[in-house]
Parts: sequence; C-alpha cells; structure tokens
Amino acid sequence: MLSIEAVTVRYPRLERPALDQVSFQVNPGEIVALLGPNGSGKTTLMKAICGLVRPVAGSVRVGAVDVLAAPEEARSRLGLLLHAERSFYYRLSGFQNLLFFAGMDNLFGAAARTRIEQLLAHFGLQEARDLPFMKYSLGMRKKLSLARLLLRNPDLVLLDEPTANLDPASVREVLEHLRELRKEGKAVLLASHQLSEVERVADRIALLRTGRLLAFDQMEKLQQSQHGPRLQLVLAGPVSAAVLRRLERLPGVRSLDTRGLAQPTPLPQLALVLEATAELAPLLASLGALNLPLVQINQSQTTLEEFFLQAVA
Amino acid sequence: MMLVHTQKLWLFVLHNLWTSLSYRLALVLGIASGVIGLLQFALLGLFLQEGNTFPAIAQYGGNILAFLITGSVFTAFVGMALSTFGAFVRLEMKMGTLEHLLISRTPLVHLMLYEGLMNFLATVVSAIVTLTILVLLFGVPLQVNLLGVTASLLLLTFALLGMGLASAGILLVSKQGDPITWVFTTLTGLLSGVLYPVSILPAWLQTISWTLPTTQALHALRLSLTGAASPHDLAAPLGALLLWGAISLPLGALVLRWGLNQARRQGSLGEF
Repeated sequence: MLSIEAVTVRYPRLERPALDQVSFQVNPGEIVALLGPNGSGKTTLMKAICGLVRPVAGSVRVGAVDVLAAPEEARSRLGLLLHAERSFYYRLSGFQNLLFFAGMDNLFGAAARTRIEQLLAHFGLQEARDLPFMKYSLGMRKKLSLARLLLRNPDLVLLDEPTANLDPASVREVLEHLRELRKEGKAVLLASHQLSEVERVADRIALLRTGRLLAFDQMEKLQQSQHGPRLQLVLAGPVSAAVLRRLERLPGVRSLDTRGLAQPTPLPQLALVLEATAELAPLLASLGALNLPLVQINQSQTTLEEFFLQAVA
Repeated sequence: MMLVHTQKLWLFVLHNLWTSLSYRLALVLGIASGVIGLLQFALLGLFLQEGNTFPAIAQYGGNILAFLITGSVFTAFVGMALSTFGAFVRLEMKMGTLEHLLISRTPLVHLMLYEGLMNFLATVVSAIVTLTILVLLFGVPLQVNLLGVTASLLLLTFALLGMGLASAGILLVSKQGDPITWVFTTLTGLLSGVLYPVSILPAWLQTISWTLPTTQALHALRLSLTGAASPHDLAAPLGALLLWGAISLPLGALVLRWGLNQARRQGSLGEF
C-alpha cells in the first residue's frame, strides 16, 4: 500500500539530509511503527508521504499512485494525524469542524452528517459534539483527529504520536482503534516514542536515526539481531562487586543490567543480556559455580526499549 | 461540479458565521464601529458640502459626500481583493489547519477562491447596506449605473487577484510581512483619488496614478455611481483593468506556486 524508495529530503539550513535514502513498505492490514530519537526524521517522512514536504530524490507510492506525479490522487487515499495539537478551528464545535473538513473532502449534506455522527459515536464523542474544540481534553482532541482522518475512509493511515500526553485509559482506547484499522485492512504507519505501546500493536519496526533507516524488520527479528535473550536472576540477597565483575566476564554475556539490584523489592534482581550466539548450558553451569544466592532464573526476550537504546546509541 | 463548488462555498460562509458568532461582543462592537465611522464620514461630507462647490470632482457629480463615500466603499473592495488570500493562508498557518487542508481533496487555489468569493459577497452586501443608508439618511445623490458598478467591481477584483495570489505566495515563505499588499494599499490611499481627486496631484504623480489599476477602477466606479456614465466613458478604465488582470494573474499564480514549493522544500508549511 505504501512504498517508499530511496527518499531523500534536504532542508536549506540543515547540513545533513533530513532523510537520507530511506526505503521501506507498509502492506495492507499491517501496522509499521516508525521509531527514532527526536530529530531523526519521523515527522518529515510522514509529511513527505503526504506531499507536504518535497523530497529531492526518491519516490513515494500510495498504492500504485506516485505522490509526486499525482499528489491529489495519492492524498485522497491517505489520512494523517499530526502530533501538533493545533489542527482544528478552536471556536468551532467538534461537529462543525468535522462538517467543514468533510466538505473539503467532497462529503456533503446528509451523507456527511450520518458519517460524522457514526464516527462521533464510535469514538465516544457524541456528548461533546457541540462543545467548542478549545474545551476538548487532549484525549478528546486525539479522538477527533482520528475521526477526521477516518472521514475520508483512507487506505493508508499515517499517525504521528497519536498517544502522546494521553492518560493510560485513552492510550488503551487509541491502541484498540489501531487494531481495528488493521483488521479493516488499512495500512498504518505509526510514529511513536512510546515503545511499550508500539510493542503491543506493531507488526514491523522501521528505525530511523539522523535521517537514515537503521533497521526495518519484524520486532522479534530486530531484537534477536542486536543480542540474544535475557536471563533474569532473582536473588535471595545482595551480591558483591567482585561477583558482578565475574558475571560480566562469563562467556556469552554481553552486558549486565543491575537496575533491579538497586530496588530490591521483594527480592533483588539481576539481568544478564546475552550475545545472540550464547550457549545456555555452559553458561548455567558457570553460574552454578559462582555460588550465587539464586532463587529463580527466568529467560526472556530483550525489550524494544533495550533494542532501541542500543541501536540508536 | 458547480454544485460541489457551491456547497464548499456555503461551508466557508457557515465556518465564518460560526466563528463570528462565537465572538459576539467583538461582532457587535465591529458593527458599531463601522456605523460610527460611516456617520463621521457622512457628517464630514455634509460639513464640507455646506455652501461649497468642488469643480475638481465635477465629472463625478460634484457632491463631496458622494465622492468620499464612494472612495470609502472602494477602499473596502481594494483591501478585500489584496489581502483576502494572504490573510486566509496566514490564519490557517496560525490555526495549524493549513497542512490538513492541503491534504484534503480541495486544492489550495480553490480554498483561497472560496474565501475570496465569500469576502467579495460580504463586501458587496456591506457596500449596498452602506450606500442605501446614506442615500436614505443624508440624501446622497447617487445615480447608479448597475452594469457599470458591477463591471467596475468585478474587474477591480480580477485586476488585483494576481496581486492577492502573489501576496499569499510570499506569506507562505515569509510567514509575516507582505510587501505587495503594503505597496498597493499605500499607493491606493496616496495616489488613487480615494479622499481627493487625482487632478490635484502634480502632473508626474498623476501619470503614475493613472497606471495603477486602483485609480482606473475608482474612476470607473465613481462614474457608474455618481455620473450615470456611458459605456464609452467606462471603456478605457475597464479595458485597463482587464489588461492588469491578464498580466498580473499568471504572474501571481507563478509566485503562489513558487511560495508553495519553497515552503514544501523548507518543510515550513506548518510554521507561522
């Protein structure tokens, strides 16, 4: 549904390209998370897909339509939610805002009103339909943005930090809406800093840093590509610095995560982050030889946050 | 297609009406200021007219009140034609809605034209109300040539449309500060004969004055409102306006396209 090929964007006052030869695809019925630190080019990429920013090289296709060659046709197939809070008319009600934007998308009269009422009901905004937008809470604003985006029934949905500044209940609702979009066969590109939320919904991850695509794959594969599994050691008591140094030098251990030692509730914990090639049997034997006050050992995958921090470091 | 444009224009009207009604006090004060300003103008005209004759404006009927009022009404049209597009772009940038409008199924030029047409109609209604009140209350002697008035205002708008587009193009890049509107508004007030006839200017300034579309349009409008002008009288100024529009419209469209592309290259469409 979305095909980005070697897209390069240069801003006049920026020495390095804002986007440098970025390529990846998003399929129908798929959520791709666009990750990267601040200034990595996520919003620029979203805007380049919509034609709001002009690439100096590369191509963007929405379905079979080239965004640069046929911008209006391409834009008619996508919906955008930008992170910026300012994107509605503050003095107009939610309903009036949607009516206006629906009209600009050629949806008028009874058809527009019916669709708007459906969307307001879907997002639980019926009671606030006549409230001025300025009175809406952050969560309501995000939901109204989603409703506006869906007015045009897009094939491709672009979301720039849709859960930023939302309370946990609203985050859960927004994520549920994203799953619904996937179920309806829409292609979703989701830019976010909320890695735990991304883990819950994304099928694939595209990781940007300083305008370059560092990685693009399924989450599990990316996590494995950086390092192997994680061994969580639950301990009955503290361990000495000398033991920690020995743990760090064990074959197959990439690093130690000692954050659990500082907060020993209910028991201190220590995590060994392993190399992808680490063999578990000899490692466990070495652990036994150290006489650690072990209560339990759990094996888990590295988190997306660990992958992210390592990849962009 | 026509129906789609009409529906969109109606949404622009509703949008502005809803916004204006949400600022009720400002709306009332704005109307009151307009009425008081008009009253001051009328009283000044009556005061000047008392016992005086004005040979310099004889071709427009010689009535100073009618002269001033037509100048005032005209200025509203010039301001509207020059600034409506730029003001639209700037307001949408400030509201943060411009990017969302740009990805809608309505091209930017259409959005600007809806806004312009709505403002044109609002200015027409306001002008009709103003002139009617003045004729009824103060007996302003107007001899309206409806065809001439309509042609003058439409061609004035056509002549300034290009400047309006160029102004919007510049604002897309500069975000604030638009030299085109500033130059034309200043020149109109100074040289186009709004408050005094062009004939009192030095000869060299008169030459510059008559090259301006605003001078030609005001001349045509006054002839149509006060002098029961013949088609022959109107041919030259209206022809000049047509020429201005034919030259400025493509140039304005080019500047707008340049501004839009420049803002896209800079990634600054959402900034203001």
